[in-house]
Amino acid sequence: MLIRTFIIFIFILFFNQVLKSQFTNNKQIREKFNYEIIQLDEFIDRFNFDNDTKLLKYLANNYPDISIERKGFLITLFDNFDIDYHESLIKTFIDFVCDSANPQYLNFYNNGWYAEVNCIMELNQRVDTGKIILKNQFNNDSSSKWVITGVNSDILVLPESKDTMKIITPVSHGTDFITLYDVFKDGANIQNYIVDDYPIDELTYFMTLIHYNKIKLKQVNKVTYHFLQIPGWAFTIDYYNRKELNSGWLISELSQMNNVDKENYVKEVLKNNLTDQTVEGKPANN
Amino acid sequence: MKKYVIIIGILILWFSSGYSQSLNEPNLENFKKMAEIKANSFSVYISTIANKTTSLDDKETAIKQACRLFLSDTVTIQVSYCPSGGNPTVYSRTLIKYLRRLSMLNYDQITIEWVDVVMVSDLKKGTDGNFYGIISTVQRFTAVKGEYTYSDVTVKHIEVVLKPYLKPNDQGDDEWRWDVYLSNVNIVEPCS
Repeated sequence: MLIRTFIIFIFILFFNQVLKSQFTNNKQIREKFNYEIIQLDEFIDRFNFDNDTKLLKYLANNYPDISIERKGFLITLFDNFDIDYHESLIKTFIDFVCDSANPQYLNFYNNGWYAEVNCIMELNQRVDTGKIILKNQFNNDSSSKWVITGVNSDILVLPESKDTMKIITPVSHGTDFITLYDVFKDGANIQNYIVDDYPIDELTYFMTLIHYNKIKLKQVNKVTYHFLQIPGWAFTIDYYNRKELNSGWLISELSQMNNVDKENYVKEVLKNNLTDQTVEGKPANN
Repeated sequence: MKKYVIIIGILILWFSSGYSQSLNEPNLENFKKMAEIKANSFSVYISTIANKTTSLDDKETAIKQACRLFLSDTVTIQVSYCPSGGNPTVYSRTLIKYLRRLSMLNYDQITIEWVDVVMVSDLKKGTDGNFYGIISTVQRFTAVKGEYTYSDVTVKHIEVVLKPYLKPNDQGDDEWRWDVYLSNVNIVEPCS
C-alpha cells in the first residue's frame, strides 16, 4: 500500500516538474485545470476521496492503469512547496484521517470551519487592512448561507480622545446631567465618557458603521479557510495561484489541537465570541 | 457565428420549456446541465463580441443576448491579475461594461477558446429558497496585432442562480417555474 502511495506521489511531483510554466497547448491547459483545486468544494470532495472529483475522473480517463488510494491522494492536498518541515506531522495526520476503523471526513454542512477574508477597508478617509470572518449557517432542510461571525481591523478601534480635559464632571448629577447634550456632539472625545476598559465589540461597531454607510470595502486581498472539524487537528487552506500542478486551494498550515485550544483559536484568531456551538463541527440547530 | 447563436437560442428555449418544474421540485441535475449550456453560450457570445470580423450591429446583438443569460447586465465581473513585480490586484466592472470593452479591443485578430468547463459541486440551496452553484472554466485568449501575438490562460468562476418565476400557463393562470441564470464572474489570471 505504501508503495502505491509513493508511486502516485512521485507521479504528481513528476508532472509538477515537467509541466512547470509550459502551458502551450490545450492538452496541457486541460491537465493543469484538472489537477488544480479550483474551488473549496472540490477540496472537500478530494479530502473525502469522492469519486466525482474532477481529478479522479480525469486520471481514470487518461491514466486508467494508475492505482490511486486515499492516503496518496491526501498528500496532493498540501502545498508541496513547503511540505518538508512538517513531513512527519503530515504522515501522522493522514494516518489518522485514513484510519480504516474510524475514517475522518469534512462536511460542508457542519460547524467547525470558517472563511477569513483579508481585505482593505476605508473609514473616514482612513484606509487599512482587516479581516472578516464568516461561517456557513445551515438549517435542517440543508439550506444555508454565509454569515459574518467576526471582524478585526485597526480601523475599528476608536481613536484616542483629542482632548482629555473634556469629561462629564463629578457634579453633573446636580444639573440632571446637562453635560450629556455636549457629549452627544463630541464624537472625537467619546473615550472620555465611557467606563475604563470597556470591551468594544468590533462586530457590533462594524454593523453600526455599515448600517450608516460609513465604512467601505476597498478590495478583497485573500481568503483563507480554517478547518477544525477533524478531532484533534486544525488546518488552514489558502489559494496558491501558480503554474505548477500543485496549485489552487491547498493546506497551508497543519497543527494538532485539542478542544480547549480550538475554543481559544475560535475566540482569538477567528474573533468569534459565540459559545453555543461545538468547535469540531457536530451539526447544530442554528 | 450567427448559426451558433441560433442553435444556442433553440437549445436554451428547449431546456427552458422542457426542464421547468413545479416550484417544489426543481430537477437539479437537469438545471445543472442547463447552466453549463448557458455558460458555453456565454463563451460563444464573448468570442463573437471580441472578433474583429463581427459587424458592429452583430456585436451589439451578441452583447444583448449574452446579458440575457445573466441575472442582470449589472452583475459584477471581477478580474484578479498579477502585474509584473507587483502584488496581485483586483478590479471590477459591470457585465455590460466588460462586454463593451471587450468589443472595442484593438487587435487584428482575437481567438477566445474555453478549453474545459466544469461545475465542481452540486447546486446548493440558499436560505432564500434559490439554488446556487459555481461553474469553472479555463479560457485561452490569443490576440494578434501585426507581428505581435498576445496569449493568456485564465480561469473563470461563474456564479449560477436557480430561481423561481411566475409565468402564465395556457389557461392564463400564473404558474411558478424555475429558471437558471448566470451571475457574478471571478476571473483569475495565473501568477508565475
